[in-house]
Amino acid sequence: MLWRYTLRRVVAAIPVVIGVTTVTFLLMKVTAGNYVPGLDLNPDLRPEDAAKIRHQLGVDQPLYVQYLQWMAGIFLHADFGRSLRDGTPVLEHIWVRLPASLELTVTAILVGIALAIPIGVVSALKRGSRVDHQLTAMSVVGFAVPQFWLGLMLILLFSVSFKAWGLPWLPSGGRDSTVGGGDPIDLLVHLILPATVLSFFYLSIWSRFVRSSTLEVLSQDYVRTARAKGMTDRRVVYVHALRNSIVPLVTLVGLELPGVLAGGLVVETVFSWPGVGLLTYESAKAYDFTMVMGATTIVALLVVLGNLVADLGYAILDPRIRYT
Amino acid sequence: MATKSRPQPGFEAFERFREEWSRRDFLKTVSVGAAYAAFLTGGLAALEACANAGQGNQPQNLTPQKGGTLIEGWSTEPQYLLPVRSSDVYSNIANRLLFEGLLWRDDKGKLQPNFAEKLPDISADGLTYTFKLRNDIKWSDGSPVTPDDVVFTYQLYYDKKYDGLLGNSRPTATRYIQSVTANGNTITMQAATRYAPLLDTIVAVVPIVPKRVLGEKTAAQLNTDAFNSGPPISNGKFKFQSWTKGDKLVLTRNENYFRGPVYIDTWVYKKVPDAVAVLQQLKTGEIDVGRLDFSSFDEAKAQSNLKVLSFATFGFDEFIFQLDPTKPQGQILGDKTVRKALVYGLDRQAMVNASYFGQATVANSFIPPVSWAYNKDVSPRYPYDARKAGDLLDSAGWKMGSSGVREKEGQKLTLDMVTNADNTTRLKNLQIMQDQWKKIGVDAQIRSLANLVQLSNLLTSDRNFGVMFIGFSLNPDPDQSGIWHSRAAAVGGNNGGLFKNDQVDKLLDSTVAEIDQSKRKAMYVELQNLFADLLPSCILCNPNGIYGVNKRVHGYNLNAYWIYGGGYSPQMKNVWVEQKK
Repeated sequence: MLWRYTLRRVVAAIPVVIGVTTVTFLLMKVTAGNYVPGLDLNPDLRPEDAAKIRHQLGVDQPLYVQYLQWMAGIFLHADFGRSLRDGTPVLEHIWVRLPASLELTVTAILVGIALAIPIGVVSALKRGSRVDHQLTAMSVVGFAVPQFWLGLMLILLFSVSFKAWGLPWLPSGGRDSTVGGGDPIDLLVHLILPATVLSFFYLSIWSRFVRSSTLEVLSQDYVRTARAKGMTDRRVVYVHALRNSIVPLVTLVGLELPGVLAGGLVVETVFSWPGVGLLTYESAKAYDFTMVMGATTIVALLVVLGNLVADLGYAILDPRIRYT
Repeated sequence: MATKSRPQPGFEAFERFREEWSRRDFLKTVSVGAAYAAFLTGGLAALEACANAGQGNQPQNLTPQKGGTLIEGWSTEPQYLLPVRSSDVYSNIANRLLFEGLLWRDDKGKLQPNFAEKLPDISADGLTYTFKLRNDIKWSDGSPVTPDDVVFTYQLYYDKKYDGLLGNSRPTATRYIQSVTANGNTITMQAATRYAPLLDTIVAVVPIVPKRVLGEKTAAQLNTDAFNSGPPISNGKFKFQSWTKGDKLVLTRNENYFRGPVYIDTWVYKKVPDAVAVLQQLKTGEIDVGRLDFSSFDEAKAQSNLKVLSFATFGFDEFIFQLDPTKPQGQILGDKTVRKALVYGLDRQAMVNASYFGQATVANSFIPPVSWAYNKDVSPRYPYDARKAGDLLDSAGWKMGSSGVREKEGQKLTLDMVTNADNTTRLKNLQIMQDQWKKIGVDAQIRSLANLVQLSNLLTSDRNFGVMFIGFSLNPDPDQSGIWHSRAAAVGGNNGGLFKNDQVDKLLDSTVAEIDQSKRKAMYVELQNLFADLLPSCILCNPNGIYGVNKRVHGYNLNAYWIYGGGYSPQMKNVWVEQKK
């Protein structure tokens, strides 16, 4: 009854999304009041001019009216509104920025998975060894070090200092070179630092989960049976145990799906990566109300979707799991 | 008018807050990380210094070269390339390279003819301005810029038909321009009333846009028109090439520019995360020009590849006193003697040295010294004199209490000081004020709001404060009615201390209606002395603009009138870059 389960989950998501948008709306309003860019502290505008501009933008209406209008736009016309700052539709902004975010986050997730699984498995197989301790220390560091700090330090070292020392240096930000960029090598060079920071964070968390779930799986009866049959260790671990030990990873990666939009916010900001995270951050800073609301709503939808995809993914990896 | 080539003052302040907000980044939040970062930065900086020591200066070729790219790095993106739609300096930096107007402002602030053959003739009653449009102005596609284009452009600013056009340039133009008409290449502008700043704050900053592209569109269409993010033709030094939002805006040379093509091939506006990154990218050469904050000045100066420009600007940082008698703080500060004592009690030079790293000038007047209206003999002045401050407070009835705080009729002399916490310069100023005022028996408490948006809400509507630290960027025209006129005390206005003085109102009104500059100056001299005596606010200082410019860039000049480079600098015509071999 997979479809019924899916339907139930989708229906259950509606209050979540409404809740998220309401909270975001209230937070924006509480912090900013009826903010309109360009009006504040402008000695050239008279009070009545400012009032007129507010009226034209509709922000002089009561809170609930603004909120209902915004909601109606989404549900009745699938219209997320226009950015207060530059007047272009919110969805267009997000659409334009999406490829950059995808490029960064997908790279980081793939690198993260590719490294987290071997690291986790090796840690588990060599539990208590020096290698295990070193890998554990590395994940703790990766998890504990703030991304912005790591990013800034890498920029300082690989861009600013390497350049000053006359070494080959990496660009400090952006997705391609400002002049004459855009070829694959150029894109790759720009991707290295931000992807390193983001994937380091992912693999630090994920490798811990892989380690513990591998340990758990290795102590299961069927593994013992497989060993008893005389299978090689390699076959036991990589064929029989691995598939089960990466089930938790599916959830975690599924939860990172909204991260494609928002998870890279810090990294995108530090590296001036023109993605959706940076867009959201900039919009929040500028009190671009509709932009932040639109981005938040879409992220909320993606969180729900990510969870659902992860749950369905279980069923594929683990035939014992059934949904009713 | 909500000026065009001049920064929108409010917006400038807002942008300043944005830059500062991001500059601080998240560093503050994790003190351990920040401390370690500082440690590591120090180490790397030392290593860098060693590496730089060996490099000698290369001989420079000073003949201008054609070609190359100039990259300016800014932490805020432009929004609108249609000038009338834009409300922020960042948009104007870019759209002013694409579109130019009848007049421009030289580096002394004097207006010069641009698309006009000469400065306009002004009728004796000061209401009719007559311009002659040059006949050699072309759009980038080679077709002529016509008087119709000029008339149409001005209609966008003043005509009721375009009332729905968003952007805050319209209100002033609507108020002061009655009509603009063309007869042959003669353009006649009829003012609604005598308004001295008309040329300076309207004509000098209205760039001409093409009627044949925009003429058929309604206000609502123009608000969101594609022109805003990519105009097909232009008449300035550059034409539009591409804009990747969140990343970079690219303009290329306009071969049909009426003064002849510029040297550089390509001009790029690059979005940089924050002021920290601006400095980094200036160091690596990823950007050629970037605006710096006060704290970066010394580090930028030490870079071998950069020259640092620091210049006085039209703008001030001030602290406003609450004068509203219905508020408890207003009852204390309503006494002029108390306000004077507070200003005498501050060592303002020490504040400038500590908070602005010396990159500001202590102010004595609300008119910046770079203005023609500045009264260099303004009086009274308030040199640091703690003893005098104490005497004045004594005479006002505030006697030193046993706790070290002055009291009057059982009430303690406590002040509620407020500013936006994301601006470290301002916060530092309040801390110094708190410390210095404590010495004269004043208990000043710091209240910090999250950001400038909240601070400006407090200033324009809530107004519950004692002393507010804030800053304004100003137009070159000295009119400041929007800050000090009693009209601006209405909700929504910037006169948040509710300063109301009939004489000041009268002088402010008559000075904008006086066309003769020497007569205006006499009024401003009087006004400045009056202001200094009434002291509704203490104008602390005039902060400098600071830029880092790569040494491969030549002819890049900034000054009080061209503080934003880019399109604000007519000299972009003369800018050239040494190209990498």
